[in-house]
Amino acid sequence: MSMLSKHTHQQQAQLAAYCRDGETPTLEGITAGRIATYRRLVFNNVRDALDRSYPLAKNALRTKEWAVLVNDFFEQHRCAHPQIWRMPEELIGFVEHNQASLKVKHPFIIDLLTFEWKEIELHMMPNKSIPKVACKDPRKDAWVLNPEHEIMRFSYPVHQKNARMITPSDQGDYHCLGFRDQTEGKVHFINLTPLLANILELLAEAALPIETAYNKATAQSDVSTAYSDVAPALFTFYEKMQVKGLFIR
Amino acid sequence: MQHVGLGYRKDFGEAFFETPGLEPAFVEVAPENWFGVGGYWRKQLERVAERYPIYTHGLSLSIGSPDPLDRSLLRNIKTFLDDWEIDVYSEHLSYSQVDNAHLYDLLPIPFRKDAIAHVVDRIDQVQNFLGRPLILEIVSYYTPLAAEMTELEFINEILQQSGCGLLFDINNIYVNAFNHGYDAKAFIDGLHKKNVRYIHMAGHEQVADDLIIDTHGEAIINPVYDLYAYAIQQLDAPVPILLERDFNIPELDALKMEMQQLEAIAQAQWKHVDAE
Ligand SMILES: [Fe+2]
Repeated sequence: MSMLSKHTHQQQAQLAAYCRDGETPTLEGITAGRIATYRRLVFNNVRDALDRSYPLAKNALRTKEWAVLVNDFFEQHRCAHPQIWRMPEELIGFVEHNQASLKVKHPFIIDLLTFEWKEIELHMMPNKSIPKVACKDPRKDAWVLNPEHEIMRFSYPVHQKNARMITPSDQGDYHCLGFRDQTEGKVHFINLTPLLANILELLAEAALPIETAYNKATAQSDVSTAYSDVAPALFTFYEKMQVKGLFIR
Repeated sequence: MQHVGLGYRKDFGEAFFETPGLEPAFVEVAPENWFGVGGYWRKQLERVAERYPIYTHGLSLSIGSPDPLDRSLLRNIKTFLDDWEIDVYSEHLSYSQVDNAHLYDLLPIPFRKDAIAHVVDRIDQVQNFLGRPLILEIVSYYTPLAAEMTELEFINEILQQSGCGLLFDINNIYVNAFNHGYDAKAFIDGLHKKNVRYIHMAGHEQVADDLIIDTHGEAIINPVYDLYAYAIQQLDAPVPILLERDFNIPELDALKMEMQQLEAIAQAQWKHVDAE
């Protein structure tokens, strides 16, 4: 049972609601002109967090469009995360469910927001325990995938192209891998073919030798190229990615 | 430094570790900015924690909120405090969440009897949950709301009834005295200072003839130093003092000089106690 009277509760709720929607509240004993300061401070907090998290989306929309989006979000959305740096994630769901015309105008918008958010999430996420492995023969032994990664699917190449250059004809099936390296904690993104995405999804479940992973992945797809034909290229890819920190040795 | 700590900000970068003589007595962080964080920033916090004791100053507890206490937030804070072996947890005497919406800013709790009972009850819950004393800060506010008593009566009543610690933010008292036209020294005289556990010092920005905003974006001004000297004369025992700087961050040498000035004033005041 709250010890607050209904009246006190309402006064507090009205001030908070005013900060978000700007509708004139009936507040007692306030100093003229001062509640607008609160509204401005609260708005700046939300806008700054969104601006910082989504520089690409902000740049992809017209200045006015981004300002309207930020304002709509501010007025209509109840921010749920107590950690302000996590709050911008909520913009994705907001656009998904409340911004139909923006999605029509910029069909890539959800992919772009997701891509930008994943970078923050991968950069900030808690450390995962890294398995210790001794890989002696990289051509035969199992490869261990860095668990601090995520495989994403996009309908637009937001990870490859400036969003302003994306056209409806770019629509397709894109796969993108994001991972955090262990040494510097930097986040890297690479474009994946569907087959590579498939291979990495298998590796995410269990460490596998290159050939085993390839054969399992091709068995699930319509790729029929024999392993021996792709082995050199595949091996080069693994080695290159290992240098970047995608695999644990 | 013996008494003066520094609010650790990500923007300090490597300069925090490399500025000669920048040796705060402790650093303060907001748990909300650090719990559940790994990778690069966790490593940085580990480097900080190796060198300095860590104090915390929370942002989203919303002790005066009409909403129920956020148990999941409290669990995350407790885990953070336990994992990093942190004893000092402070927060704001304000509210920042209503109707399940966070505002990420500090709204003024109505200075009312029922709000006192509400806050005192919640202080007790938080302290029990965290297994640590709660230290609450006097916040800057720009308007009262539905007040039925003075700010001073409100704060003193909470301190006396709950026994919680007081975070004595000298700049906030200066800002409030200016914005609401009262005498800062008289406010300090009347405050229940037995509960003071911690001091904050910061700069602010005057945005109009009659309005100062508590931005933490400027250097401390001289009248606030004077008020600080006045305030610590009235304390029986030394308490930690923090320099806060959140925006417009200068070279760390400039912050070091502010800290040295705070330290000198504190040492002059507390030299007898410090010597013991
Ligand atoms: Fe403060």
